[in-house]
Amino acid sequence: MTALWWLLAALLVLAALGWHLSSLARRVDRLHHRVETSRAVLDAELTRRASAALELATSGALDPATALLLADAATAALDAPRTPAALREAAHADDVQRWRAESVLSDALDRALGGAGDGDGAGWDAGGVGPPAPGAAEAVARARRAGRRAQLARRFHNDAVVQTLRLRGKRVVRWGRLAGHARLPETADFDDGTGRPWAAEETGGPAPGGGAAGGPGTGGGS
Amino acid sequence: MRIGLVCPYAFDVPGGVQFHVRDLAEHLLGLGHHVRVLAPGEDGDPHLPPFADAGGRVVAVPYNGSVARLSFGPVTAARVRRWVAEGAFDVLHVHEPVAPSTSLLALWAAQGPLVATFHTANLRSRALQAAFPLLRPGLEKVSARIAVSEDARRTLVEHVGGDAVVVPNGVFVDAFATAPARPAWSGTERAPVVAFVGRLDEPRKGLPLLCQVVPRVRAVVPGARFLVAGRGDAAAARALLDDPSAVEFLGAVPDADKRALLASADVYLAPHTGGESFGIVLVEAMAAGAAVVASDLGAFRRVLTGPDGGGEPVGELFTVGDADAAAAAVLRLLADAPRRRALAAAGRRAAWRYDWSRVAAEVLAVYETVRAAGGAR
Repeated sequence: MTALWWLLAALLVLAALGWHLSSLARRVDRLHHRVETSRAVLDAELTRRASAALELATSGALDPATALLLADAATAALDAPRTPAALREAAHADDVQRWRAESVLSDALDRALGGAGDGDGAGWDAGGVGPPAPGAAEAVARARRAGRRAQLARRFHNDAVVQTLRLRGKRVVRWGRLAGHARLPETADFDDGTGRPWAAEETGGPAPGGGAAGGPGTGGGS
Repeated sequence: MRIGLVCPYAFDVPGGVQFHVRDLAEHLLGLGHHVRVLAPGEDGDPHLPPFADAGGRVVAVPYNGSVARLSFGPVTAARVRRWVAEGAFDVLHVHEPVAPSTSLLALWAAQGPLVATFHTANLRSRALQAAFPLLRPGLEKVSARIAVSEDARRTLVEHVGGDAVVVPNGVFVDAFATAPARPAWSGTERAPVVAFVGRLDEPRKGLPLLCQVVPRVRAVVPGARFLVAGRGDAAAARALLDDPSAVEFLGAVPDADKRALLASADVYLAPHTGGESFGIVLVEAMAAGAAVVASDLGAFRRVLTGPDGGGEPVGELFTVGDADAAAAAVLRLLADAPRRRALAAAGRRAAWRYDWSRVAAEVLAVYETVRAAGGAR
């Protein structure tokens, strides 16, 4: 009788363990899917941004020097090696080169949008110039929107990557090989212009110097 | 686009998250989208807006330091699952995803593209930290996280990991900018009006500090009037005052009255001592044209100095909890009408940054990004 109980208990433990492992594997799988789809979106948004930048450069809204620099950065971003859809096979160096080109484009966009259009150098938040101005040049607006969308896509992609890395760092996941043969994903590390005037509603920088007053303020913001 | 919004708190008691969900839904409906809201409540609840569905029986539970009106349990869980399935939404947008109510249940039931907005980001509570392993699988489904402020985002990054984009809360700036002042609440040279809107019984909203500021201001400007609008026990609040007649308690006022109050006041005082992740009331006061004096909290500072925190503040900031500094700031503004007017004008311009037209466009950009990704499996 006792042997039977022991057997039952062992089976129960095994079942619980199996369930736990399979649910972990499901989570890893779901996160991999998120990483892949968000990377595809990021690629699409970056392509759109580069096209919008090229369009802006040729629209006549900019001075010729800025336009040329922007066109150069945009074409470089478009020509940078694209990671193939099966991103796990991609050579790491490809991404590095790509991100460098995208950072340069962010820089060029920053310079172009800083002085173009309505002249206030602000993105969707017009830095306090009254009601939303519909009169801004279409090309400028499109480049700003595309720039913002690329920022969103990068954030969401990196969020997925960070969470995937976290889960895959767990010992159970590593030892149980729950991630299969999938490559470890990497964050898209480039300057997307966040915190620049044309995308000014976000900043990654430290809190502005509020002295001792800043401490309790941010500390209390639970 | 078919959009489903989930609010964790019942609409029968007003609150920031409920207002945000309601206003966002109204704005998106106005843009021609299909929008449904799910919130705690019984069928036929008169407090639910016409575009909202009842999520289940409301239970008042002490949660996170105050009493929250939530809905949970197997019946609610089944309802939420059905609502999510029948809604066939292109995007499901869950607000305050870790609140133990409809939001958390929707997170579990969700299949498609999922967006989550963290409002107060009370992610440091010990209960939440303990329960986190249980919440994580649900949170991992979220393809796009939104934080309402840089402060909320930082708490999220530190305590949960991952990242979020910042999309601020929205205000219908026009409604405040065009609100008519009310003669009974308008200040004069001799009797300027200082306004405060906030719950009386939550100390972190700063009413006790306001009560210390009152005598200090009236010592210099004896005629100064303090108008306080907000729910709570006015009698208990009066007990904090030496001269109970110095402060007029208006109780919980309807939206139109709140706008009129902010439009009438000379100075808006935000004496909060912490726990604010955004500060929507500051934006409302700015939109209505009141000169703002506010605690130097991170969230308030960012509203007043611009998102990158680098601009000239469009209001006066004082050290958190310092009644002398607060009174001095109020007195400075009361004595200097031109500066008051300049600050009010600058504040009104800055408030446009938070107009729903801009905020909703930003939210829609997030929706489109996650929709392109197709969401979690």
